Amino acid sequence: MNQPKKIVLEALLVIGVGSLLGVVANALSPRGLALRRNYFPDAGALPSSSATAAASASAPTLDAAKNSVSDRLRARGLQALDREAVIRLFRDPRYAQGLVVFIDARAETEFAAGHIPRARLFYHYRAEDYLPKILPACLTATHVVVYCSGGDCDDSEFAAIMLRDAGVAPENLFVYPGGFNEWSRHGLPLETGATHHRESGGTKGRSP
Amino acid sequence: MSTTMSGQRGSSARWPTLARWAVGGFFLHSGLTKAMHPEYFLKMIRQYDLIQHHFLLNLTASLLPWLEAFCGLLLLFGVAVRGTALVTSLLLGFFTVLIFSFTVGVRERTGISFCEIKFDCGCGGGETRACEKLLQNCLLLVVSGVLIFLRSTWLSLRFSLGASPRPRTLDPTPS
Repeated sequence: MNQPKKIVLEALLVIGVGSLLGVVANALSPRGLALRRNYFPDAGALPSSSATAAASASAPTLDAAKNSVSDRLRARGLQALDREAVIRLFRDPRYAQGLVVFIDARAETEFAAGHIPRARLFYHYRAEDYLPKILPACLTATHVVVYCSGGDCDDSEFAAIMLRDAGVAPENLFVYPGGFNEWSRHGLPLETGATHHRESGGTKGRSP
Repeated sequence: MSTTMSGQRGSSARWPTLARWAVGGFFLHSGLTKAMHPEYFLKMIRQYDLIQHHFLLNLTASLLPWLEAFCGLLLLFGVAVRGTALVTSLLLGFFTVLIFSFTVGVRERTGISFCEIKFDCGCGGGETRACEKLLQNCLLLVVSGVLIFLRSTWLSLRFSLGASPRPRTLDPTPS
């Protein structure tokens, strides 16, 4: 057999064995992906957040990006809240009463590093772990505000869609497109540490 | 001339082995980083808008990191070197084209200069400047490509899967 053919066959064998290894590892890993699950519901007909991404931008480009985000939220049947509206809800007495709920759609490490005080974590990639813990509070709330990092992060939208599909009334569901990055950039209160709230709702043991 | 542990013979030049370790180490690290955080990698490859169907997207995100790590291990231990180098070269070539296209797209949409664009390409290193990432990829691609053609077996466990091993000792005296 000539050398190029041998090399190609070797490569095919490497790809085959490597892929098989990947299938097995993914199936055995507790962090493995569920292959048949759609982690981005309602994303098919819409441009991804990369279509509105701007790593650093001048003001006109930023406005264009914001309008694109609003259009995308509307197309997904979601309501957007600007920073001032989110701050009003944060300071509303109903927040302490549990009638206003903030949902953080980022990963655990990001949440622990800093989040809006008394926000609840909902990492939609592991919905089965988080949804049962937050759903009761969301179902009884009058305002559920979902956020992630902001900018081109659309995890908040997918988390909101999952909450809507789980029974949260659409009129009570809001997305904060500015996200945690905008919140912290404006020197607003934040909290660190992992969530310790009870499964039935309410919070306990959060560090100020 | 050097001989592998399986008895294969090849060049004893050492720099190809160092190059093999560099590419292998990169792929092992990159692959494992992504394999430990498959959702992160899933998000990253989604941003390229190449794969629309969620099953294929999930399959790619779950398999590719392990394939990379596997290639890294093979190169580090010197197993099926040229075939593995072909795989890593193809992967690097594909990723480089993808990152370049994505960066051009961002530049066209935003007007930001090419080398000022920073984003997380999903390569396992977090957010980096596109120019730096492309340069790194091109260097690795050249090294990986060269490994396909070299036959340096120094410190290789089994350089080629197809070649049958030669006997370790030969009887010098004819009967």
